[in-house]
Amino acid sequence: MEVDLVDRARLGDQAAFEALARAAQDRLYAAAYRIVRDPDLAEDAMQAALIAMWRDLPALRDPARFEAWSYRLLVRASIRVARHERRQHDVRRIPAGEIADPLDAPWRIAQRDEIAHAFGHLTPEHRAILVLRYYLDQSLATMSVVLGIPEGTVASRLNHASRRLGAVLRADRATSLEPERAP
Amino acid sequence: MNDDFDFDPAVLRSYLAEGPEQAPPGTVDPVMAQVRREPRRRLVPAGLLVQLRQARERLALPAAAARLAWAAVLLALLVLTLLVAALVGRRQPPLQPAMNGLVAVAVAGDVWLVDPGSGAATALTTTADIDETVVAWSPDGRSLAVAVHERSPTNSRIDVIDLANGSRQTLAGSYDAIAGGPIWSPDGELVLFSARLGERGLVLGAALDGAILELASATGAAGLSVSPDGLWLAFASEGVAGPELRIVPLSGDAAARSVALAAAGTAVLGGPVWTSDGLGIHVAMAGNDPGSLVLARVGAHDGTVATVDGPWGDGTAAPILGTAPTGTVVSTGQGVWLLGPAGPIDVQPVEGKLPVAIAVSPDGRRLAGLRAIQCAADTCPVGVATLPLAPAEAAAGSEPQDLRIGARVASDASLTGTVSWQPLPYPHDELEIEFDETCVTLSDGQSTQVGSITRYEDVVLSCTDRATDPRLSGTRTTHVTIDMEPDESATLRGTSLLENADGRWAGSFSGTVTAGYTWHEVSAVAQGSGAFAGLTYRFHVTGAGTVFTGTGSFGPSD
Repeated sequence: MEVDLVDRARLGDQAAFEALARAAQDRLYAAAYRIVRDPDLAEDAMQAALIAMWRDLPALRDPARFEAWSYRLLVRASIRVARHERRQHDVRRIPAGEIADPLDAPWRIAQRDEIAHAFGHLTPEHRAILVLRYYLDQSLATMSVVLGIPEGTVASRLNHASRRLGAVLRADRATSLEPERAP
Repeated sequence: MNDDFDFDPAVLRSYLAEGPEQAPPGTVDPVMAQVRREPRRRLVPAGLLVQLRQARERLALPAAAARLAWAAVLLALLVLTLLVAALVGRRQPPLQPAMNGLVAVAVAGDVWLVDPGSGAATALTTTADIDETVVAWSPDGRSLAVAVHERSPTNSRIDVIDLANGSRQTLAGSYDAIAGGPIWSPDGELVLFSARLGERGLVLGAALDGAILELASATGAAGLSVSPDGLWLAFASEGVAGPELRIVPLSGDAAARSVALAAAGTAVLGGPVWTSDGLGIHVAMAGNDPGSLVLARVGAHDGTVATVDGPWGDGTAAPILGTAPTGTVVSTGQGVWLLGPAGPIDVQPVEGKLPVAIAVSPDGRRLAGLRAIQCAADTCPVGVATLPLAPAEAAAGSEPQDLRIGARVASDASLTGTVSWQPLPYPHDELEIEFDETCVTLSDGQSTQVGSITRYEDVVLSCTDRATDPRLSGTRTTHVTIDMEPDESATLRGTSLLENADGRWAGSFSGTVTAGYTWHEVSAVAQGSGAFAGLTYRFHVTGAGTVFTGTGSFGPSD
């Protein structure tokens, strides 16, 4: 069904493209939000990706790769939007049932806040690759298609982003352990 | 906890699971509004199906005999080639096929493509709401980087147009102005430009994956030029103590440098451009004497600044500099010169209108200049003049040939724009191409009865081929033999010769025609000669009427 819509949209069928866009909007918005960390910017990125999708569809040779290709456009748009806008509103929603053990909650919340802070200090490129891996659960092979780079390069970039996240976390912890200075 | 990274992937997953899972209502609506305003455009080939439909309508002739005649015409078109050995042997093949493709021109707010061989010009963009102001071919000759200015709301951006599929994407945007560039890095991975963002001046590199690299912060940065080795970017900027030349690395940890130019002049008027040997950088400046024009050479390694003597004239016309393999092209209000080791050589004398923008052909042998031609009272057609740049030919003098494009400006004084000459890399692999073809019949041939079929021999067609690679564009002469079956289907075979200014493709073809002559398919193979020696062109043509389309590939002969 999706392949048929993609084929029709490639030929300029606007109704087919609208059906594709509406079917993809939630997954694209959700991924964009994780990269840009702002609801308005996520909307901007998703819309930019959809417009790029309309313009570039004739270049998509294999309709079966539409989903991966759409994430490629989304990652590009999200990075571009994030680079030009520095606003950050970290909207937090704890999924239902997340805090199952009340005794465990403070530690988990502290960990979560740590990682949220560190994640916000990554570049949009690093956030994007971590979102593909840890939010969309994509394999290295799929990420290779999405990012248009060899699997080895994906692994290298993922490693680099992970190390960067770890480095920010270490720096944050070191800062929090410093004795408070007298005014 | 992950010992390598100091974080627990489960915590990261949990954090990423937070946040909305659904797009806000109505998010797609503005996208669809934009889509409806922007029906998709394909650049090459255009309107194939429409052409076919029109051709079929033309075919709907009442008389069977007329239809037969038409059919013969149609079929023959497609074709290609046999080794026409006699023709092949007449030319001395050069060492390498021609490298020069189309000239792209940004003028009067749109981009035009000009074929310097045939003079044919096509508007690539016809955008009313935005102005395309600068254009640059990618090193592989497949894409164009374009500086774009949106008038309302004001926004400047960098777009890349892929000529293979007609797609257009914005690489970087939301700037107040694009001050310099775009130009491409030699590896084609970065589009370099300078932009103004509020009070800030930035020199940036946009990667095709959307990443933006900030290479330098500089006021008034303009005249971007990449060193021949691709390692350094030079540009002019306004320093605290006057004009300066900045040299920044495009990769690695090398230190950026700046060279004060105040001793040579008061302002940079043209360039900078690297010399072809990479050892120096030329800059045209307003001299310290009012009204004077100075050409300065800056040592790329030691930063020394020296003036270069020459007949440059004064600074009343903005000087333009360009890099050619044999020297630096210098265009001023007094003429155009090629500045080589032996000094300046006249390329264009003072007579005639001088170009407002120049581009050196990829093979370094020709120069394209944008200039107004034959201005009337309130309008000037715009043309691209091409002339030889090779020292021997330039020294002998040559009248520029103006290739008129459709753009017009109010006066030659108001003409601004840029030109860029398409590089055509030698095809080490098979290069895919598309083309369309229109034909006329020169001869209906001889009709004979052979058993139950009617054979038409030596039907001759003359066709014009327009391909996505200009090496495969030109005039095709086709000789066809058609065997007509009683049901009005047919088989056809023959030879064809495609010629253009750089060489020839000679070959043979065969194919079939459906009953009633509504459609034909032909496969062909041709061997290149002249500049295309050593290359083989294989293609497949379909169509009806007198308009055909095809796809194919060419590459080294087996």
